[in-house]
Amino acid sequence: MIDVHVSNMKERRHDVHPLSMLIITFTYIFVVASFHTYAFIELVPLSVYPITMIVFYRLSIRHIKRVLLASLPFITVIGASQLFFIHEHVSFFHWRIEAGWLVFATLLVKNTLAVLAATVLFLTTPIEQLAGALLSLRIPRLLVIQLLLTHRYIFLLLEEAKRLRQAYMLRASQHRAIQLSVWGSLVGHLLLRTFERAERVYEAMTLRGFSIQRMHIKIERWTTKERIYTYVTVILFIVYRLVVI
Amino acid sequence: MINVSNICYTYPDSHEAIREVSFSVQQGECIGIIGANGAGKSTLLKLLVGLYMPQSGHIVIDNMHMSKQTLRHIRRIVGFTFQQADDQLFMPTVYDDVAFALRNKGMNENEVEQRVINALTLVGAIHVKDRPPYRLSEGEKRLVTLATVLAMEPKILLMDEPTAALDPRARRTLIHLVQSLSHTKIITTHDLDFVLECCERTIVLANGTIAYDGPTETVLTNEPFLHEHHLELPLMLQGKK
Amino acid sequence: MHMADALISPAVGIAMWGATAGVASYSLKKINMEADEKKLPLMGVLGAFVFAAQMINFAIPGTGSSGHLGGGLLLAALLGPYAAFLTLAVVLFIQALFFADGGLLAFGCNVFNLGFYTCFIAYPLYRRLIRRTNIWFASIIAAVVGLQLGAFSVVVQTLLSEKVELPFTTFALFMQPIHLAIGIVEGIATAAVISFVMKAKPELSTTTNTPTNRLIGTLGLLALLIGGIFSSIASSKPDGLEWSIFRTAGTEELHATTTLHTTLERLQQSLALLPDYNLKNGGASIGWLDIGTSVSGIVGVFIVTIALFVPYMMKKWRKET
Repeated sequence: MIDVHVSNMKERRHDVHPLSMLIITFTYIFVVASFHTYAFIELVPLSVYPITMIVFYRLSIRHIKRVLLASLPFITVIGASQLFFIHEHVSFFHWRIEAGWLVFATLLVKNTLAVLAATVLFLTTPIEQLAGALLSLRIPRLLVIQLLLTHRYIFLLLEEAKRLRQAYMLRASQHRAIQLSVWGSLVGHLLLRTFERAERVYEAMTLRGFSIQRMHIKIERWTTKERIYTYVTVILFIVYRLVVI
Repeated sequence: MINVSNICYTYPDSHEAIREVSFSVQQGECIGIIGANGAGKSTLLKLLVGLYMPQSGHIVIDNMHMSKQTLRHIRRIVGFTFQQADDQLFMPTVYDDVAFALRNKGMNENEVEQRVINALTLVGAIHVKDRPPYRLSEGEKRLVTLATVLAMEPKILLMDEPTAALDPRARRTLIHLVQSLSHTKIITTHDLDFVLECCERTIVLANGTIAYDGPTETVLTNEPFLHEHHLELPLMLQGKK
Repeated sequence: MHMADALISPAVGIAMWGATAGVASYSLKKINMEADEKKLPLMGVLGAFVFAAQMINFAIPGTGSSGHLGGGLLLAALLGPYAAFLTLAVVLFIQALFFADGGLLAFGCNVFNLGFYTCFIAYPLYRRLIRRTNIWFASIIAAVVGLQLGAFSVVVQTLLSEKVELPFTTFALFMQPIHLAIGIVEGIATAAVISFVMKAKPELSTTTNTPTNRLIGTLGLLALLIGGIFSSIASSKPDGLEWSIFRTAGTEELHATTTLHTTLERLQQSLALLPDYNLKNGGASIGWLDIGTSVSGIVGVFIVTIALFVPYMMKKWRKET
């Protein structure tokens, strides 16, 4: 169910510190998730944060749109189910509406805000900077290195998978998907090549004196300005949450 | 500089890749290793950097007998570039990749920067310094892999099919670059014109043994011999007939 | 199915982050990277492989639709449970961040639902079954068990979060059959790849170590404990459940009717590990959630787990004595 859009992963360089972005994003999602089932109105003002970021950094609308669309089916099914399970009515301003619809709308808003926040983090923070931030949050080195390696080879392997699929489709244009009997061997081949690649990557690493402890991951300095920006934003979110209940 | 005597190597799946190979290399020589697919070219190179250990025979590099203990020293003076550049470039940016080995040695950042800039300038890839490797063209990747190795300031360069998948211009750039480097070089390739231009000496491998070892000119003009080993006359010699 | 941020409460999210962190740090210790440095690039590249393999859809025979590999069980078979768990965690992190597939707050839930059950319950089951039956049967059963537990977790986590109004039985009856189908497909796909690899390179699939039953028990307890501690910390904070306007609108005191429910209620109150979630608070707030069933849901997980593992443990115990 992964939508692949390699072309959107441009080189990005923005000036918010990755650690700030990480902390702000998590606080934001935490605050959004903490609102109750009917907090439609209360959630709407929170959209200021992602929208500001998107406008200010001119983030790729195309990417955001795709990601949002991909997240919809599951949440829509769950949301729609609320229409059947909640039969109460609530007063929404001076209208009397079915509570189920309000829950549905709240879910959609929550989902949109959470997805936007995560996407803003992704689009503003290059992976290598994120790796530094994760390290400074004491995430084990090994996992961070693994994150970098996986990220490095996703593109290559996706391309390889695409070529395999194309090669199949060129010779079996009447099929919509690959037949299971062939699929095992096709993906198996990809897997064997992946193993060989891992072997060569390991060789390249050992030739250049790799060790987990010494592998260099740049951790950028978290300046006072950055800190203040982070604290202020985080406090704003929390204050909003505490005031509006 | 390099002395190889009677080495044999058999893969775990009992494929005998190298059989009784011996040769020696003087400082500053540039040697081309050619031969059919599966003749053992890549295996031989990997033996020379200790990625594989021979089951019998000896390898001596820069007066050091290759063993587990000397491996670290040997790898400092021997630089190896992979056939697929993508396997060698795994860091987020080109700069980090070239700096990888230096930082692993514990070098301070100033010196690292100096060396990275020098290496990238030398190969003419300084403009891609901050790009991620997967964004580069095949030719740029090749130059960067060479820079990652040159930054370590090795004495010996081993290159596995450096001109594979390059366009003519990128290939030409690489040829000039290889010619300008004064290191001892061993290069495996199917690109016989490349050998003719860069290497004064050629080794022909066949089924894991040395079929020829001598001046490049002699072997690359011997058409029957070349055919026997799945090779052919270099293109620039084909017109001369 | 990936859990979404919109469906969970911060308390549940943090609790599952805690549980995941616990299992991850245990796995990190177990894989002992110093001894097997080669594993690191292998884990990294295989993580990327999972993405690539998910791109290649296959036709599901006789249905006209297509499916794709999840990859958890395959990773466990190739890397062993510990390395596979960590690799899956990284894969899910990238999915959450790059594709917003599963949320960041729900990350812990997702790693647990898709990783823990697959690596530490389905995989050991697979290893045992494969000795007796063929690879297809083993991997289908293992994948189904793993995904059923994962789907059940999604149900429980959603209900505990109380962000939506779903009767336990309806939600479970919706989720479990879907995941039965997904599990069968996953099992077939996993077996297809593994049987190809075993023929092509037999040495690859035999190198992994299996955790013992005791270990799985310890890990599960550890996860529950950490989850419990975190959730009791988290749930002591107001969760926005009591919204004053609705307190009057929909309040219905819930009375447990059956004896099972009353017993469970008493048990729950006396344990009081998760005091704020259910009975005391839930009854006082909106209260549409059928608390009795959600508690029996948790008990259900225990029963299923115990039912699965008691026979194995007994067998092993008998062998040892």
